[in-house]
Amino acid sequence: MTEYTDEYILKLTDKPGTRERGLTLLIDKYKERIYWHIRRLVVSHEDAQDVMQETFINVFRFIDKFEKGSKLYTWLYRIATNECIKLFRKKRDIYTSLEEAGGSLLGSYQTFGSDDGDKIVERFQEALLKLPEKQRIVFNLRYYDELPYEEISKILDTNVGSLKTSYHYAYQKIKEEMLNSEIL
Amino acid sequence: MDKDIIESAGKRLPYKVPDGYLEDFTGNMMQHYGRIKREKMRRRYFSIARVAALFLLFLIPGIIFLTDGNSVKNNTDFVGQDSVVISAGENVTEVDNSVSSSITNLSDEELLILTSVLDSDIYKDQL
Repeated sequence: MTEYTDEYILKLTDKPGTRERGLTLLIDKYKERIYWHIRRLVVSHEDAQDVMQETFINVFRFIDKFEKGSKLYTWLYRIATNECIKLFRKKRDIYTSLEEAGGSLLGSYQTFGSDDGDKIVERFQEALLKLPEKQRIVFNLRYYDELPYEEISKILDTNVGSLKTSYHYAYQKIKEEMLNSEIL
Repeated sequence: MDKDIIESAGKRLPYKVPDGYLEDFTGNMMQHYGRIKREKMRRRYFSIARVAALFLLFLIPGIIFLTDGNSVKNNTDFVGQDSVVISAGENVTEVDNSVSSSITNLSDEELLILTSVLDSDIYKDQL
């Protein structure tokens, strides 16, 4: 499948006559990447499905307002991450504490995840899901998506220094958690 | 060893996507886009219709008022035209003739009644 450049896609979305084609190409190009980013954060496929839909509805609504100087994927990650955070807040309203909300993610993971039975991957995910929300988002964007700190800073509106600290703490905590569970 | 434990997990994920979800996603989203677009168009038509209705609401009484004003003016013109016709004196003899012929056709009794009516007319001296 041909991969079109962001410039070409944006040129198409600019004109009413070709907007539909441009949006189709945009979704085709980024759907998988955005899905996995969302799925890693919200864990269950059902939640990921809802967040995906909301994310692309926002893309349809605000594509006109996209600043041409910025990177398209940064903008998409920003929308998707904000939609995930919205979902966490909704869940937080349901669960009385942060720990409970975190526990609910772990619960989702234990119910829906772990398909391949790889113990080390399971332990890694469990440790990751125990992280505070912000550290978990930073860790995901840096570790899995390999985004530069400068781009993560644009996605989360946080300075690079604080992101590096968050990533470092997240990495240490995961390692500690995994080592502890190995001993047990 | 410490670092290895994270590296050994790598970037593998223990999650699976239901079959066909990502393949169908673009088509499903574009259908959704079509619905959003139609809804947007419907809302736009409604707002245009609402503005047009408000415009007419203010315009119609104005038109009625103006039309009424014109008809009053026309009526005045019509009355004026009559008076012009009469004052021009061209048709006065015609009117006079019709009045005198109707008087000559009256019976004696009717003439007596007419005379008594005319005698009792308080404005007769002002004519």
